[in-house]
Amino acid sequence: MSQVPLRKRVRVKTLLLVLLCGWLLALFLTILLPHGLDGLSGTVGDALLERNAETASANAVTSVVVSYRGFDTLGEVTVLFLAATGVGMLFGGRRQEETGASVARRAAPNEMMVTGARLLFPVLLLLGVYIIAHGHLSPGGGFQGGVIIATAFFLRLLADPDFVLDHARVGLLESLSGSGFVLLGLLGLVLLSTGTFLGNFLPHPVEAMGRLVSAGVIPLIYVLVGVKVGAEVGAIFQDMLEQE
Amino acid sequence: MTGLFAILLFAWMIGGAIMAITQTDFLQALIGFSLVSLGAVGQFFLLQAPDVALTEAAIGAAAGSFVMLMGVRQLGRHEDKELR
Repeated sequence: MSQVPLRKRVRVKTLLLVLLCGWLLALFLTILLPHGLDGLSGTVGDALLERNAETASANAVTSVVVSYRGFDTLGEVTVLFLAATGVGMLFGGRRQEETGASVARRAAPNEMMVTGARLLFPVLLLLGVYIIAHGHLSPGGGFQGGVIIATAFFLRLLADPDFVLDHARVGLLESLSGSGFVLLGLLGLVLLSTGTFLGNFLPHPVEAMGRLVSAGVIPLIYVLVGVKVGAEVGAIFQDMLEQE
Repeated sequence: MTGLFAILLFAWMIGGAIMAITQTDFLQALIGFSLVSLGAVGQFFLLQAPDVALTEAAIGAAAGSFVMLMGVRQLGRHEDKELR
């Protein structure tokens, strides 16, 4: 015991890390926590909520995500595209050597899986389309609905070995909807009535708030976001499944 | 009532997290992980954020679990002894 020096018996780096974490916790408790407790900060969020009626979108979150912070949404969709491309490169590298063999090698799915997927596929597809189309009325929107549609196609891919998503077609769908998003944004920038990127250039009367056809350009953008997200997540699932 | 639900969901999430850590069977650990996500869905709903709850349900509970399920299918269900 006495041969081992003290610095070997005590793990200095771990101790320092624990001390750092404790210091950060103390800092959080003393400085940051009381700052958030005295009511929510009444600056940007309240201002956006007050002005929500001008977008005629019943769901205030959607009007922030698509209209006021639409540029951020474009960035998020681009990040997701980069992630899908990275997964495709990571998993698709070995496809040249074993072309087609991977599909045939996959074991046949069992009866429960096939029947369950047949039952669930149309319901999930309908739910996804509903959530995308009602993005400006009820909770949800392009991201959530797109992922639900991708999940439905993933179930179909698992249950039916012959069913393959065409990579070229999915990529075309994805790039078309992405270009449509940018095009709608540029139209808002070019037209004199709005003059801002992603400006709401279509008529959006406040009286129509709550109807399916309302809020001008917001549902169109959310449909494009939904198609793009669905295609990207579907491509990720397809890549991961082909790897086996 | 809402507080009671929140505490129950916290217990649910902590139980799921402990299950995800302690199970040596990867499939069971994955189920524990999705239980945590499912509890988070309920928490977001109680906090009056249905948009975030829907996102968590679609991505955290469904898509994330599917991606990890693919990993389990490739790695095998049981944890190797020398990895521990």
